Amino acid sequence: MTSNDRVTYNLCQGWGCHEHCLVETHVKDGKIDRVQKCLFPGKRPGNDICMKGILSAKIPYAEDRILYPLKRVGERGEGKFERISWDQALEEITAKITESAEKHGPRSIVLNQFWCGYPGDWKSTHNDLIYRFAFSYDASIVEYQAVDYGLTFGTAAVNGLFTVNSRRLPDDVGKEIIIWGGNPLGFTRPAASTHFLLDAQERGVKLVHISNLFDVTSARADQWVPIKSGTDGALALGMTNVVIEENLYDADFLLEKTSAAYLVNTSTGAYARAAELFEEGSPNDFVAADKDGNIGIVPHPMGQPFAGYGDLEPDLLAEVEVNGITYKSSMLLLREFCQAWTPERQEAVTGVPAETCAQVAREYIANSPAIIYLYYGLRYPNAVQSNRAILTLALLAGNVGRKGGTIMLAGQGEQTTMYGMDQNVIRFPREFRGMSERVTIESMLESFEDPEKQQYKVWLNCMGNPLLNWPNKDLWRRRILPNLDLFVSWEIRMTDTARYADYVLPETTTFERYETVCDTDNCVMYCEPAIEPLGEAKSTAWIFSEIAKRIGIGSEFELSAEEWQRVRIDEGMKGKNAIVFDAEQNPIGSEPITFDALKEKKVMRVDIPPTIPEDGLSMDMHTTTTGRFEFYSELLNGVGHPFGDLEPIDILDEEKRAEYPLQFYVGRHKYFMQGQFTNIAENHLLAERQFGVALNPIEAAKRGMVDGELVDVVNSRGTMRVPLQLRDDIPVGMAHTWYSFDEKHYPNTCCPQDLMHAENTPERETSVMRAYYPLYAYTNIEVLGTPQVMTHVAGPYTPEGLWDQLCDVRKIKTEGEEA
Amino acid sequence: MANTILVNMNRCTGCWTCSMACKGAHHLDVDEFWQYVRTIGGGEIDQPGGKWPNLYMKWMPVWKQKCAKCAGDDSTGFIPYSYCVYNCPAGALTYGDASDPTSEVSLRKQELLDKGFRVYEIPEWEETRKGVLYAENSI
Repeated sequence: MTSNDRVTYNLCQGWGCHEHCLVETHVKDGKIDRVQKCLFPGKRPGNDICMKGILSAKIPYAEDRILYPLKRVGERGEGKFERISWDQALEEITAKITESAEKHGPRSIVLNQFWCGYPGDWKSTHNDLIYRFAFSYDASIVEYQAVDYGLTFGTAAVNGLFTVNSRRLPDDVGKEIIIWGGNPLGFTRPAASTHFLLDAQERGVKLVHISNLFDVTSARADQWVPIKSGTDGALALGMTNVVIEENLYDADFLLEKTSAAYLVNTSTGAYARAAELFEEGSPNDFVAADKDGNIGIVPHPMGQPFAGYGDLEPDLLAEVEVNGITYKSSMLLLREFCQAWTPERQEAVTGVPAETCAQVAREYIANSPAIIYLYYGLRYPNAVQSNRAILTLALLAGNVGRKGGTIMLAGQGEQTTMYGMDQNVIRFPREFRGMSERVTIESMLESFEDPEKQQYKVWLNCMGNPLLNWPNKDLWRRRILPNLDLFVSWEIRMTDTARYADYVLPETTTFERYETVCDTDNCVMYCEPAIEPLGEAKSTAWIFSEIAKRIGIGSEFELSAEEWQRVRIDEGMKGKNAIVFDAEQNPIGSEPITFDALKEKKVMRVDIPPTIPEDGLSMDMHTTTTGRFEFYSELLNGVGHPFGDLEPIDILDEEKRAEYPLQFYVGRHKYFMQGQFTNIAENHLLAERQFGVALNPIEAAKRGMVDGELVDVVNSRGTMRVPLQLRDDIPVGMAHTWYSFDEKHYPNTCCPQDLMHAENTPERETSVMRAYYPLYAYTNIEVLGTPQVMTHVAGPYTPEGLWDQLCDVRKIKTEGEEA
Repeated sequence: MANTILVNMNRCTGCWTCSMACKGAHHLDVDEFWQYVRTIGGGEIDQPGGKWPNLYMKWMPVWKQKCAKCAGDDSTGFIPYSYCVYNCPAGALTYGDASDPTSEVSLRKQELLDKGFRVYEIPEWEETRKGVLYAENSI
């Protein structure tokens, strides 16, 4: 092998799917020859690859690759740039940074750290250097956009804490997996996760798919249950009704693991505290009752696991009256609440036949231990409540936190290695100037109107492609960009975001960089450049270093990208060990993880005893009010939502649908990865026929439209003129499009992002979302190690309502036709 | 010697990894395919057959006669068909010597037959590569 031939391991450039594949890159004559799947140490390595990973070999060589620093000539958005030198780019950018810092303080510099699509995500070196920069300079970091919060908060309500858990959980499942809402099989999770689901199916596990669209997961499932968009809470309630009325629930589990038997004071809506019913009772303890109406204290020692019911044999459906106040168990209240949600009533809302609702509910119980796989498929303002209702059903079945029977939340990452590397070793500089501010888009918009507030004038787009991936592009054009003095984007290609930048800086692709990440399959991985950086592309370590030394914080950025990796491993993983395997991949011992060892082995499997069970849900304590799993929440009862339920949203509003009768559904394409891979010709070849808007043939016929016709997709925000495709997998009542295609595909017309509104108003915003802020801000400190505010969830820029959009599709009016 | 690829039609998700792995490794032009994936359903890529809600869709990877019957290299342990078969994330592909009853492909074929699968080949007049078996069970 010559020095121009090599094999390296690199994180897949399409990391945003969350399969987190490591790819094996083969280089010949200094050029990437091919990419193939990578094997990990140990049996059942679990790592795989998909067609995007294979085609990622072409990303460094794409036609629209940014190879040189660019400076805007012309207006923002025109996409007109001139090539400049790095020296010029750095001088001009840092001059503007310094100017802004002098005028408005260093917090006027804002960094975008939205890591979702970035290789290595929040575990990457780049992510850590963003923190280092912000802490060294006291710059601001943009608060994460409110994505995924329907599931996050829904789980937190029931469990007290959001958690991710392992995609390997299907290996232990009993007899059924219900995939609810998402489309992971062969689509959004096309690599490792897919084979775990197929393996389970091949072993005889029944796969059920509940969804509003027919796609790969539906096609492969044993049973597909079509459901109307946004009505999932109703189906869950209907299924819960069946489980309760037919006595199918797991009483032992409910007593042992949940607050089902705990009495609720029906006057106040709060869980009864021992202090109100027992003379010596503590305000921290709770109360249950037995079948004879005797009440007893249920101790809740702070920070301790559940201590049992004492001598009391609690009645799950207890009701007692004390001092003129009626107390009911939360299970009894749930039963009363669900009585109205018969399978027939839910059918009228969801379109799921009553018989099917009952059948799915009964089988889910009979096939336990069973898994419900929720993968962020519900992106509606009512998703918190829908997810709560689904989780309530799982609790009744005893299918939470049990081996083989649990909830798969996202199925991404492994528990242990999320805590394997101490990334603070490079996040925190030696001279810590400030904790930096996490600034929401909302705050930025307010500051533009109010000069008394902290101003935000420089946006360094280190990560993400907000002008494509975040709805409400118009907000950028009208309000954000006009108020920024400087907008810089780090890029590997000319994205929609780059098109609006003042300067575009060429960054290295995953194939041109050093990286160490502790993640996939409990492994720590060493990545090195497969090829020399093309053109004048530079690592982010270099870019930060060059900026830093020109603004007075250079001493914090003296290391090269390669040198940072030694720090991450030798300091960040100090004291950690890796499992040693023999040639047959049997574990035979353990060895310390050092940078030199990792550099040689490339991948090492971390040997950490799990501090959190693999499903993240089977611990004994929960940070809920009662310290147990809860389906009744006294906090949310305060805003009228004691249980999961169905909240009204725009697409379920008949009045709103009068003018715009179709749900505007914007999806992510199978052959693209969010907005990436759209510049790879092979991906385009497969996807191009699907560009445009799709309608069910019945909706097209109603409008006198034919397949391939150019049509207008309209709503109050604009008009998108695109070709029509007839598709039978799109239900009546929906106009379907893909959001991945960039602006160039929409010459002289709106793109999907223009038609999508994310602005929350007091009318749209749900009270449930607001109730969580003070309670759950701290959970992110615990989970991610950084403070994070929650107020952005209901701000004017919330992707979480992504699919709660309406439109119509109309024939194009020719000249002279009446409107 | 390994001469047969067995496709488990119940596992294929139409992801095109096999096709693109072949294309990438052999440096084919953008519109040149030695292997591709047929959607069985609505006649176009990823279009289902039937009318809502009675829909179905499945995928069939097809090897043209141009298939190079790659012998693999040391990076894949010299596994034949080491671009398509090796990289399939769904575990839908098996290869081996069909005339050897102890080979992986023969064992897998028997396993699927025992589960009630049908096993068939694409008819010769379609001029696809010989030696590809398809196994499927009531999709």
